[in-house]
Amino acid sequence: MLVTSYLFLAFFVVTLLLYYIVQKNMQWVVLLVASFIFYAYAGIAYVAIVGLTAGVVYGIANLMQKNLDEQERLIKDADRKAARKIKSSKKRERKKLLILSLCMIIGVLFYFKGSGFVIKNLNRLLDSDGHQMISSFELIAPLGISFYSFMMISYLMELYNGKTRAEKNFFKYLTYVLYFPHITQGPIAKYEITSKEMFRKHFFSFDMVMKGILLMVWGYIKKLVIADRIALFVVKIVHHSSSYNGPIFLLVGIAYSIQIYCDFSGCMDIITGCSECFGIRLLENFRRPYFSQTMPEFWRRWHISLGAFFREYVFYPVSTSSACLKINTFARNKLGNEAGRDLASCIPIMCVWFLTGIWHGASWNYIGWGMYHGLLICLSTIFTEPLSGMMRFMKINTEGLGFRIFRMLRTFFLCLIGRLIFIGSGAMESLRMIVSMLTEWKYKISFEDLELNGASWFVVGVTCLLLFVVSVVQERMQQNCVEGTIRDKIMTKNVYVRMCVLMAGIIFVLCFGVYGSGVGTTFIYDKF
Amino acid sequence: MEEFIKMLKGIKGNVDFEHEDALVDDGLIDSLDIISIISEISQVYGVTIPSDEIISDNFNSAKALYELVEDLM
Repeated sequence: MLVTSYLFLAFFVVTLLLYYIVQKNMQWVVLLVASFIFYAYAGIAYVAIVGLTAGVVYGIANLMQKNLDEQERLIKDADRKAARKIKSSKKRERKKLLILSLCMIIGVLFYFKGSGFVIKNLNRLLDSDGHQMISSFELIAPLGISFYSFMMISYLMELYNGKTRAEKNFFKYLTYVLYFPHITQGPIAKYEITSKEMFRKHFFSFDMVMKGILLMVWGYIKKLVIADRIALFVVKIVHHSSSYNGPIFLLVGIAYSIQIYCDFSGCMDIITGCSECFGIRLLENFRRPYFSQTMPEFWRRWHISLGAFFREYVFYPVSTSSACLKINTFARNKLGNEAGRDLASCIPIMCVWFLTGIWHGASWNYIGWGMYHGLLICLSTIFTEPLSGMMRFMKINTEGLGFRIFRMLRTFFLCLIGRLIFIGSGAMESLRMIVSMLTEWKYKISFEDLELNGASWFVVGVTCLLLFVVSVVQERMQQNCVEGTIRDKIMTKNVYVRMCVLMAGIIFVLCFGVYGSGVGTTFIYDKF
Repeated sequence: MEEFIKMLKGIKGNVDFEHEDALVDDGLIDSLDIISIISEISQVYGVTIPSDEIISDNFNSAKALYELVEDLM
């Protein structure tokens, strides 16, 4: 059930009504039933897969909780040093449970998303006369498998580290996993945070619901007016990329960068607004990433919850592994503290980015995209200090507006190259697109290549300008430490002004949104 | 403790490890400095700080970090 469909809107309204009609301690049950219906709509078999996986995670989590309770009992009278020893011993026991559950979750994820890719590549390696050694198959993965798997891993990791308590009620845990606003595209929220919001009593507030709906409408503008319209152009060029050369790929890169941002952040706005109507706040997943000055900053503003997951559960454990610590010491002894630590950090960074790439799907494009970003982050880490020194030496004002805009455009262009790796039909075709974009400037772009008519591009342009202005205002508010959001400012106005803003947004979506089956109706991140 | 602070200063010389008590919270040391500190501690004291102990409370002051190392020894 697409969140942009009329069916979803009807489903959302009915759920919202029931949510505030039932007794307060039963509100989570309404969410569970609604989430079950939402998920079953994608395929009843998938509910069984998620339910079974959640059941195993629930069981293992409660075994870990028993271990934690025992640990608490033992350290009660122990001194600080003895307590740490007890914790360490108990943790070793929990590690076995953690490994078992991780094997199960990652195994299911790999079966659905990676096995076809591995078999295809094994066949390529083993076979030389065109016969398949292993029969290949393509599976349709359960909706949001990459997202809910990571939420389960995060829950177990938090328990392993003793930072949360296991949920005793299986159905409450299932509500967190299946919660329909976050299961399809995240954010990858920790159980500890979401459960506190989810299982408390929520009272109806007109302002709260209106604020949520305002955000949903903003999300629909991003998705239906901008992303889905641009998608028509991007898909046409990418599907027939071999027929094109030169600067058209720069246009595709720019268009796709805007499309994927409006598609993903638009979806986040819709589901965050939807969740806010239930009184449940979700994590912020985007913070105007195209204003970033550097690549590391870009990744702190784009898909924030995924970045936080990898930082916490991959970057730090890999960095503190004995092999990486030895490399760190060796590099610092040879190159000095700053250069040594930067160089040594490249190993965990590349691990994170290889996994980030493969998380998007088992394909050489995604792996290439991940490695490309890993390399950029490593170069950024290594060269930040030397380049800052050079700027100081050359007396360049790095805080001036001109230089800041230059850095923003540079970061955007580096991302754009990554986008072409991401969307190309095969790694080699992506490479050809990038080389062609950079070298073959003699090719002219005809109006027919642009797919959309002038009026459609005008709508895209005006809406992008609106998005830009709103983003600048949000950025300024953050820089000036202004409390609240633009929506909070709108909510301070009288009810007529608020209704006018809301109605204007709705009419704008209805008039200029792209509707009907075909390109762009699904979300890009739905397939992850 | 003096030796310990000397070791920390060897990693990040421009930080006042004797008096600062919000090293992480105030951004005086970043994640890469933390990894370097862990690596140095591992080499000098033979103690590996597990990843779940990498929390700001343990790295906000030299004293908290020293206590952690003592406990792990």
